[in-house]
Amino acid sequence: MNIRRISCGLLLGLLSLPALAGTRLESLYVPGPNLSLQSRWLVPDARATRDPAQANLFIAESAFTEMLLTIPPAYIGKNVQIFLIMPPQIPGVSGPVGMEVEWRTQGVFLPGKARPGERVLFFQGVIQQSPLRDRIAYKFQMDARYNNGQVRFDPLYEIEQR
Amino acid sequence: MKNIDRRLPWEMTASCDKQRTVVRKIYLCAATATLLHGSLASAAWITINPPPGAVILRINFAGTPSITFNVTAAQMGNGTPVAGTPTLEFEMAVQRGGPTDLTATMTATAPAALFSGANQIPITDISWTSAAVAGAPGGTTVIPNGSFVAGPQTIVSITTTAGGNFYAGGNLTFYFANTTVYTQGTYGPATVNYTASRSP
Repeated sequence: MNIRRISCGLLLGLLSLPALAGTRLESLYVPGPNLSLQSRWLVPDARATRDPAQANLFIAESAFTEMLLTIPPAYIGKNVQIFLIMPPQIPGVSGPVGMEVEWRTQGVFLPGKARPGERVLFFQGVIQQSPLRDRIAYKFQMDARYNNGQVRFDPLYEIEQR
Repeated sequence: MKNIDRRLPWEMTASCDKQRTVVRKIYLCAATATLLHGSLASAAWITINPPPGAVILRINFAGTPSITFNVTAAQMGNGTPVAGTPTLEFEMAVQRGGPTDLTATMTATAPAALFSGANQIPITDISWTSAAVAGAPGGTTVIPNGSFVAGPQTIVSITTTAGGNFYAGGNLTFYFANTTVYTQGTYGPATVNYTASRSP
């Protein structure tokens, strides 16, 4: 009985992998290397008559912060795509509907939004030099019903040649 | 400990082995994914601290409400409770943003009596009934019925069991017991202080 359960778990793990895995990139905030944000309730005056989907939300926003992506030499001068990947399991969040991140950029990286488990296009074009840099501002929206403590947003970045 | 006070003046006239298996499966999935992705590059991360917990107390959502009981000479002491007006809506909201459960308690502190000169009516003659507030999709623990005592008393207490908002409340109708014949006159006003507190 135990063996059958373990086999089932392995199968699910394999199916959840992205279809195309590129080369991982190192990322860094400047002057960072990491950021810490304090969140606030989206609706401060909670009332039972409000829609729980709104009443339980809390948000955290960052100022525009410089972020660097270190590009391997093999990709310099090539037409590439870079993807931001949010891991399916986010520390502090108990499900994919419990968190959404939206970001704005200043023209090098692409703006976008993502939920846990998603892979989103973050850059496309020809890279002339490393590191690739832009300023980025985040807005995190989380549902307190799926929160179990401090949240760690730790995305992965993958590069692929087009 | 944070407290929020509301005051309620009173006036009376004599006329509130399966769960463990699931965990194992999750760990197994994560380990498999890491293995097949290959080496990990260092990544910048952001930590987000949940908002602090809070408790919010509302009575009728505006101003300082006042309850009036009118008892006619013919009704006096006949044992039939006299309803005060108006009915008031009470709500205590508890916001839990972090990993720690909060317990919130609504407390009322009443004086010993309502006075009319040297004459008095004990506060224990005043009671309330509570009805669920309509249209509360967030769910509400209904305040239990009760009656006042002199000094502080717990009206309702709720403990969070997960993150998010929790509520306790009700539409409260107050009653004068009307079991005793008192000297005619205007008794009160007396003030009842309602406090919402949370721990931790």
